Amino acid sequence: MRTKQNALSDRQFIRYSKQIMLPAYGERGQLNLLNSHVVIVGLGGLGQQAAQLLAAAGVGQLTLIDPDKVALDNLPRQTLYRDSHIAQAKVLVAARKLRQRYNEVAINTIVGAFDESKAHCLRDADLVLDCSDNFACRHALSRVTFAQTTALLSAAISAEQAWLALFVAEDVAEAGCLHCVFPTGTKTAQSCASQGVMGSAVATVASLQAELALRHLSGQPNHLFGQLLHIDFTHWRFNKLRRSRDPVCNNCATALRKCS
Amino acid sequence: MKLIINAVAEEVLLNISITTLLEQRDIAANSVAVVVNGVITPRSSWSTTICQANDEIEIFSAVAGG
Repeated sequence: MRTKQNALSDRQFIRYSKQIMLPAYGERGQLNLLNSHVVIVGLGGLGQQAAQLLAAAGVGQLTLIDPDKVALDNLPRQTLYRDSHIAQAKVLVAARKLRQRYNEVAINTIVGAFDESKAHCLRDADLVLDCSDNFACRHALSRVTFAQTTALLSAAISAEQAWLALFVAEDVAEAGCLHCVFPTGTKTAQSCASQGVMGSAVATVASLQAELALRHLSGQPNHLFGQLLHIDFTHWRFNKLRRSRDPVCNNCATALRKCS
Repeated sequence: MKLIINAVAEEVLLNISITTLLEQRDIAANSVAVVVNGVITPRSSWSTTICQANDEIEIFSAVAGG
């Protein structure tokens, strides 16, 4: 575990000055970012973009988890990777590239799919970014983060549809968890592999995910409290939808009933 | 009665549940989320949630890509 910083160095103050100028961030917010640990699950279109934005903004520690290797048809939307990276593990390429650019960021790598056997990897995380590409992984993250009361920021995109939601303990108690929106047994009707997707749309969603992550880590209020942002790129509709708890949710309902 | 479904006005039978609404459209219930007047409605309540006249219903695909 990294030693917590109590003050910004002169170089950090200059490097992050444009962020520090923002009243919502300031020096305290920047220090919070530098002392934060974010786990990113999935280093595809969303994850590799969000990782770059978080590292550039000064998040102190990243743990990258993904089982996949770079493929040729990833390159239009996964801009951290190049032709020469094809067939290499995404997390190893991403870690190498990020270390070259942002040498103050501590980066851990796990080449493999996330499942409950890796629950310990989330234990000291301040935030988990769910950038995975399947519901099995998303549900495992929902179960583990709920049990560990770790904040989970999920985003997904396929074809022209996307969604984004931040699940933190207080918010889940009121508006439910990921399972309350997409219960166990949910089948995805669309995937990037079968339906296609535009790199610009993926980057938009990843940027929104990183934007919300940075606000959360710096200590700002959750602007998506109890909500889910749904994006329909076909009609350029961005809707904040209210979530509601499923009283029979097989993830959060039993534990929440015990608490109340 | 009239419902607004994905921003389009449609006539449907009275006392129609969300489950029946999806069945009539051949939409697999486990592949979507349903929003009624801006609120995401848990799947467990779809069979007992009866649509009211002029309700705004949004049905969106359960996407999981990253």
